[in-house]
Amino acid sequence: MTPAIQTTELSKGYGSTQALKPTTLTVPAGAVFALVGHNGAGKTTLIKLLMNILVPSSGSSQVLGMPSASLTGAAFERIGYVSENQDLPTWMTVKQFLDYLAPFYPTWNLGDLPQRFDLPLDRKLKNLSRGMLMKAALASVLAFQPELIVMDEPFSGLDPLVRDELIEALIAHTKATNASVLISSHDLAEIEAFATHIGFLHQGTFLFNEELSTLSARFREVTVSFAPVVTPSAVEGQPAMITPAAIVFPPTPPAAWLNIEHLGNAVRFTHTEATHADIQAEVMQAFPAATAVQVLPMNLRSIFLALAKSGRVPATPSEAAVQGGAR
Amino acid sequence: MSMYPAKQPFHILKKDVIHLWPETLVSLALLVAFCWADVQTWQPVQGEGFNPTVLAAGILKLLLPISWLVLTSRLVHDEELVGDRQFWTTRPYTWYSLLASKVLYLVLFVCIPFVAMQVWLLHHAGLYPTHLVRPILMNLLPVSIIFLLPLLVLAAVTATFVRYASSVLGGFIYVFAILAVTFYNWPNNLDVPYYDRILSAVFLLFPLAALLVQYSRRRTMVARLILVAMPIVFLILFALAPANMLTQRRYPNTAVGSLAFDNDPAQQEPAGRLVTFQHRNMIELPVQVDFKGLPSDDWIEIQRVQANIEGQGVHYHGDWTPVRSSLYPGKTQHTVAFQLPEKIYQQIHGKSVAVHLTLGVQVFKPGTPYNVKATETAFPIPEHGSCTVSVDDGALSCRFPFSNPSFARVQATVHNGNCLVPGPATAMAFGALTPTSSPLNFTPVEISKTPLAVGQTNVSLCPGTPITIIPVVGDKYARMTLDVPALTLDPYARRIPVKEAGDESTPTKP
Repeated sequence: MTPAIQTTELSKGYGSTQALKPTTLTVPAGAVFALVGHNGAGKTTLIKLLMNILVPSSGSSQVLGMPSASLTGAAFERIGYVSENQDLPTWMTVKQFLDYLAPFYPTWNLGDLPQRFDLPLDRKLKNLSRGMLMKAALASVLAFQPELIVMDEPFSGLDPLVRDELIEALIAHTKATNASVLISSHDLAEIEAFATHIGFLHQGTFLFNEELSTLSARFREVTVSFAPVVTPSAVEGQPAMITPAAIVFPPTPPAAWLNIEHLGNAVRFTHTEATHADIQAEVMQAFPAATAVQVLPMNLRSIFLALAKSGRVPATPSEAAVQGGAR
Repeated sequence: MSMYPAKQPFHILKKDVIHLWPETLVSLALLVAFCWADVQTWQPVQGEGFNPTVLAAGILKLLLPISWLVLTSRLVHDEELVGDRQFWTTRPYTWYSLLASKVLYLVLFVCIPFVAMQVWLLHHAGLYPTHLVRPILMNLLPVSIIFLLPLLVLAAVTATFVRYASSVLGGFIYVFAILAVTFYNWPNNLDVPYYDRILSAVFLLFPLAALLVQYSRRRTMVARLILVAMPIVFLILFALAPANMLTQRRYPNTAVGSLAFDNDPAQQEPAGRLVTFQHRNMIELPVQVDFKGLPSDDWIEIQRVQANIEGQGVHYHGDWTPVRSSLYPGKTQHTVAFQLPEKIYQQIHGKSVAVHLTLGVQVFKPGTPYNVKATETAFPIPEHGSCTVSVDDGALSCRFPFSNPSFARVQATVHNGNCLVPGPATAMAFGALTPTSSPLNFTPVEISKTPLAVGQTNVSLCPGTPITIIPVVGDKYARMTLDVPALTLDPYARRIPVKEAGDESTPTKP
């Protein structure tokens, strides 16, 4: 099956600034790919390259099997693009906007979208709130049932109610049409709810991009318990003295262990390769004195926190992500 | 595609009409106002002094292209091509439909109203628009190429009205600077035969290329570079113009009579200060020339002069210099001016040298005479003109569509009285309709007044007088040469008479 998006060493530079370093990425058909990263990470640049809004400095990309450098005209009957960075014809009313776009698309079917989104049809776009504007933009995309929806920061600055409405509509659409989605966002909590794939872009480079289930399976919070040291009292009749276990840390812990913390009679760390490792055996080898090992799954927010804490992912975006996720 | 490709331009056009009706209405209102003001300027001015209608027409002539400038900006920037925030680029627009819609808009709301305005003015002037379809359309061509195309392409490579207006202004300054450089360095190359076609092609093709690049690929930098390159290409074309080769090709060695030098001392320049053309340090030398062996009804237009000077150690071979003067039928003497660098002139001015002049001329022949009675009511004359005469001014007042199309000789037998009291003696009086040409005509009605004269004296042409109009038809281009084996240049150099102390009279050159 043709991937929805495929890039090969795609890059974009402005003078000496490399907005996007050579990037290879595959978004399978039917996937909901969440593109995360802080401001200036290169998310918008990547999306604009894919939409043929910008010209790449090197490399190539394909969208729905078509070279993105030649995306124009009829190709956009299959691709819907919604961005906070787009200048819509704000002199039009919502109705004029939707009526104007309708004849461009063979599959246009607005259905009950205006009612679902509670769009004020007779109000000019320039008089809409940001949330309403994004809803109008999304309605104008969902109406033609695109095979691929590309959304650049659609939720930033929206109130939770509007955000939920948009997400619900998007989820309903993807379920109904099996459309692929590429969405850039800071909001990890919402992305986790419906994303199937995730990519983390930092300073123009993907730190990782993989299936969300794989990522979730890879990361585990491991808590290793130790028996406390019980020292019998020298004086008969006195209770024994219990002191925290003297935990001997392995000189070189496995590379897949992040943020190893000593918590009294326990050690806690994040395992990043849980799918490939026998955690129990690995722990026992490192801590022969361990008495119990607890392995817990992690949500996206915890994974980012762990990565941020470890220094493998810069703190700033994770903080932003966590703030989003904590809402 | 859902929308049949041919329908897309009309769909976008409909949207633009809805959005831009205020700007369009202003542009159309200015056109109507211009019509009214232009008609007012046809009437003879009563008395002297300030004429507000002429001023209004002049202002409207300026406001009209400004309204087009604003309209073009609003139109193109509605689907702007510069930047990365346009919504239409990710919608199923085809670039050719978008461009077609914009062109269609300009045709509908600028070109067609402009043509309608011209048709109405022609009709109102007593001319016949139905006979003038070709000239009307031919006049629309420069309006489109000189005004609308550059405006369209500049709007396409700019993002905002301010940048667009600045680019239009900057473009004017840039082109003017290039022309100034050309004029300073290669003044003779500004008017090279056949070159107008090449320059017109460049003026058309470069903006067209920039427009197509921008609409089809949205490569703003490339489109801008094409536009910046255009005046540079002009500069290169002017600098490298094979002027001598093309001039010799235009004016072949065809026998059209001969030239002789008239050494009448009365034709020499009066004493005074030498005139130097500052930027080139050139001295101008007008000499009187006898034209021999020409048919008496031939009309010769001298268009180029080239001078060779030999002697006293000087071997000067000058460039072809554009000039424009006419030897009228029946005349045999004419002043021909040539130029010489001051440095060379200073070497030889008092000495005898051989002068060889070559003139590039166009010969005009009389066409079929047209006889008509001059009346106070409009009467038609050849080439779609319409004239009247009035007792008040006794001259032929004519209106032509777009321009006086060619030379025409007017002759009539007049008496020596006035129109109310005819005199006993009669004489043949002559006048000339002279051509005007402008690459761009906002007003389609060209008005000319032709007085008739007997000798040097103007006479009155009265209503009811039969007149004969003899159109002059361009026949051929030719080269004529004049050899003066020994000539001292000093008395012929152009001078400004210098007033001496105590001399109250100011000598003037005849």
